[in-house]
Amino acid sequence: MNLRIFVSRDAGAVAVGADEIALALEQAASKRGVGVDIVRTGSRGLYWLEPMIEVATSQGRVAFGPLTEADASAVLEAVMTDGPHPLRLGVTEQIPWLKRQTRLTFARCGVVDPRSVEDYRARQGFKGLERALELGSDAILADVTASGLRGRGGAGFPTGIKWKTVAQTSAEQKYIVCNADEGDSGTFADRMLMEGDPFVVIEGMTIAAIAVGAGKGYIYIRSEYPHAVAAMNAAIQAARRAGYLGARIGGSHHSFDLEVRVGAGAYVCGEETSLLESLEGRRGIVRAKPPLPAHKGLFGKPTVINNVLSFAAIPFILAGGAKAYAEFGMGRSRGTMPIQLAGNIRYGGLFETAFGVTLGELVDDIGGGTLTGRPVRAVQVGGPLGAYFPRALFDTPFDYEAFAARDGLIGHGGIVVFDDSVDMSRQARFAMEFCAIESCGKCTPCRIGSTRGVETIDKIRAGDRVAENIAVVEDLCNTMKFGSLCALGGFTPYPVMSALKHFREDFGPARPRLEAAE
Amino acid sequence: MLKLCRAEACQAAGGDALAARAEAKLGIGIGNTTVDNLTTLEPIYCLGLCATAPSAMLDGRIVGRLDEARIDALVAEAQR
Repeated sequence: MNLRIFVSRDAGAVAVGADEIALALEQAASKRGVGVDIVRTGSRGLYWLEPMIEVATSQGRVAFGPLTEADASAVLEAVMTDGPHPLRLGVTEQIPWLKRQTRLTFARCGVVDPRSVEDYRARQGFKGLERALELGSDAILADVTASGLRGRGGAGFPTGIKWKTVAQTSAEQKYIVCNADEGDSGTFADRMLMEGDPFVVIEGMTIAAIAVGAGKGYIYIRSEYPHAVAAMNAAIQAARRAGYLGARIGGSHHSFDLEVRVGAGAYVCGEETSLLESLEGRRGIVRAKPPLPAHKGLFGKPTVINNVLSFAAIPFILAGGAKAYAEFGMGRSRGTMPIQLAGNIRYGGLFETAFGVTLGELVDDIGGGTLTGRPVRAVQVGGPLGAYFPRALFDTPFDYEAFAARDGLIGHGGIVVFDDSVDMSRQARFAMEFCAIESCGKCTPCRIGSTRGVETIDKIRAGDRVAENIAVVEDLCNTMKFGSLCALGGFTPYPVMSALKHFREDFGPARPRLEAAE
Repeated sequence: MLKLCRAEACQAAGGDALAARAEAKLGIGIGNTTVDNLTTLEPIYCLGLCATAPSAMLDGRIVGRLDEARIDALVAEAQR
């Protein structure tokens, strides 16, 4: 029997050489006359160990990593002889970083071949859809509501209520839209899942379609994610061939089909109404709400628009897991959150766990502090529109309300770690600059406020009337927060104000900083 | 076309210094093209490779864990 070796095809692994490793392993095997099947999976999310490979053994999959091409031959030797190797990590499932997670949404990611419907089915795939077809709309909505699932894109709106609103409309045509415009820096969970387990997204969207009576769905993926686009397209074709998309799904009277649409690099298209504009073929400009997309969404029709992770949580919930899902978490934040640890961090990657874990545990304990070894000074939680937290707030539990109470947000679950060489006035300036670059321009506070913000922070950094100009920035932030149409202008004040509040000593004449360690 | 990720996660991982290095090597600022028309240097806001930062994309090929040697190699390749 051929040796089965699993090598990730996730973009994060490919970017550090996974393709070359796969080739080197094949060559090493053929040199020794050993038959190998190389299976390209998604990533397990242990990115500091990528490129990581796994080998099927009688004890389960055994991992090695991080590999270089030069290691391929010796690793193969160790596998064949069951001998030791310095990069041998043991049975993958027993790696503590993975073992202490609660993987519900990411249960299959890194395990299955993302192009194989059979692989997906063999690991509980389409169980949620099968049950949804038996249950019908009302019972699906009841399950989703009972799970306590809230929108994982950042806004945290209860998914059950959103779906119910669309279900109650009487339109002939309704749409399901998946927001895969994951533009926040420090987040990659959507990308990982689309590349590693695309069928779970398809299944979640199909269940939504059955619940609300929609016939057509779109997945809007950003152009920066070519690997995810390819993986989703391949999975849609495979699902169609297997009868999970198209007419009469699974032999039922429901018909639903999906299409991938690729964005064009605008961050604001992650905002749901500009995403809909873009899908309709227009420039990505925010729409005023109301009407809500649930009433008048894509092409003016009732539309469920959810994040990748929200849809991906659905199959577990519908496969009889609503109660189990709701039992995880704290307060009004139920279930698990795929948290993404990134930036200057020792153990960066995807950590799915129940809500309630503290920021300190995530950064120091799980993340292992900074990669540079210098002290952690600030962490930005929730992308470019998220607040910077100092160590003093590391007791904050990962929970929508707890973060809001401390003037922050969990957003899409990304955490970016900075060491003590960071200049926080520079980060505040970047937040304003990013907003100025990415603003759609429709509303004045965002369009002009951000540009004035950059100019004013520049004055502060130059030592020009520091106290007065800080007051101007605070006033600008206030106007942007309450006067902007969407979260881009409305949330840019979070990183700016948090930097000002917690790191005031960085705002003043620029002075020589510690050199960043390289 | 060399796109350098300039978002926060890559900034935190030393991306600023590497971007400056690429600019100096090419003799152009980000957003510009070299006079021989061989290389365009662009910012990109997030390739989603934030746990293997800093990252870049050269003509559609992604590269993570950039350091001085890797960015030099990318710049050299972009100039060919």
